[in-house]
Amino acid sequence: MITQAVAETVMVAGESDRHDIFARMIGQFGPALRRLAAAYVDRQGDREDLFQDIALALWQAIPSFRKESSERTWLYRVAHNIAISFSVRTHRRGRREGSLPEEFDHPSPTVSAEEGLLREEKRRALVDAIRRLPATDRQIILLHFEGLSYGEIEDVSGLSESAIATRLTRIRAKLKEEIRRREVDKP
Amino acid sequence: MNEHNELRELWCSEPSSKTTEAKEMLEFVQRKANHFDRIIVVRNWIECIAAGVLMVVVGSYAFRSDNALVKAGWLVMAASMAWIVFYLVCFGKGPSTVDPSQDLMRYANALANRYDHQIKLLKSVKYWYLLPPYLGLLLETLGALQERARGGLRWIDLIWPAIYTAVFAVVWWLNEVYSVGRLRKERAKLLFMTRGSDTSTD
Repeated sequence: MITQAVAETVMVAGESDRHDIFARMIGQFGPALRRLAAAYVDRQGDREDLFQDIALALWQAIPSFRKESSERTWLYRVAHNIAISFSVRTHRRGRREGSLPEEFDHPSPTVSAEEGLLREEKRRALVDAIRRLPATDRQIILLHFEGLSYGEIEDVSGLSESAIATRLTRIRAKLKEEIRRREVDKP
Repeated sequence: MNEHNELRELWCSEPSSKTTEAKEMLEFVQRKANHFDRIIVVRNWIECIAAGVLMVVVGSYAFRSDNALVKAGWLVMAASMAWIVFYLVCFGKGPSTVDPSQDLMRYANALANRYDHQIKLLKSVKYWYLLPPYLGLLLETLGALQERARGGLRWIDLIWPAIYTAVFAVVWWLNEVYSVGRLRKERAKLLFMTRGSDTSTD
């Protein structure tokens, strides 16, 4: 039997392994990757393009995945880096203000219409506020929201755990403030 | 529920209408990866064939010409085309990709270095890609004008050099002004996003 330690140093062997790993990653992290895309680009079409770019980058990077880090942290590193280079290349970001409205999904039918709208409004304010954060802060808060530990966030971002903790406190306060301000400004 | 958990719950609550079919995505990425590879191969082949054909044509002009300047001009052109074919065969694999599995700062640095490299390459295009064939055409034109000068030069004789000079100028502008400017903007945006500062390159 292959021990855990040995298994972690085994490189992706063949094409079928690559297929399995990719399918598992997309199946497991697809929704999180779509949320990540929404935090970097505002338009639905751009989000879909970014999601596909991330999927392609993962596919291309799988053969060099040496399992030195966990699959999850490796995946988030690739996804965030691709999202950053995508938004650098996307020259349409300036259209955010005054652009077509975001194509957010309709709230779940299980909650009341008013409640759903309020929640959706709040979620939209949160996504907008996250999009305005500097890349490092954005990465930290998204990883935190997706449930990564400080150690895992350190592995993805390269920042120390103490720096992450300090930043998280500041970012959360900033996000809450942004959402509150948007609620106050609402006509 | 405290505010902190509320933010997290809010973030994860997106009732996404898009489902992610792993099989569908797998087919997509395989198709796209093959498509990229094919595009680069086809582009290189087209450029190689065009440069090869041009090399043979101008080589034959050089062979048939009696005027030393015209001959030299066509030979320089042919050599330039041979250089382009050699470059495409040896280095025409497209820009190298930056490993995206590094941490953010390392990735941003590697990306910024790649921008620097591309900018440097584009700024040098005029010396190794444009100048040799342009000099060849200039020599050929000088030789042709020298021959025609015996019968008297007309303004129409200057149209051809004006056209190719304009074409070379446009190519130079696209590389050194438009593309370099675009890359510089992207590099500055990258540094602003990742470091919160703008470090320009030269």
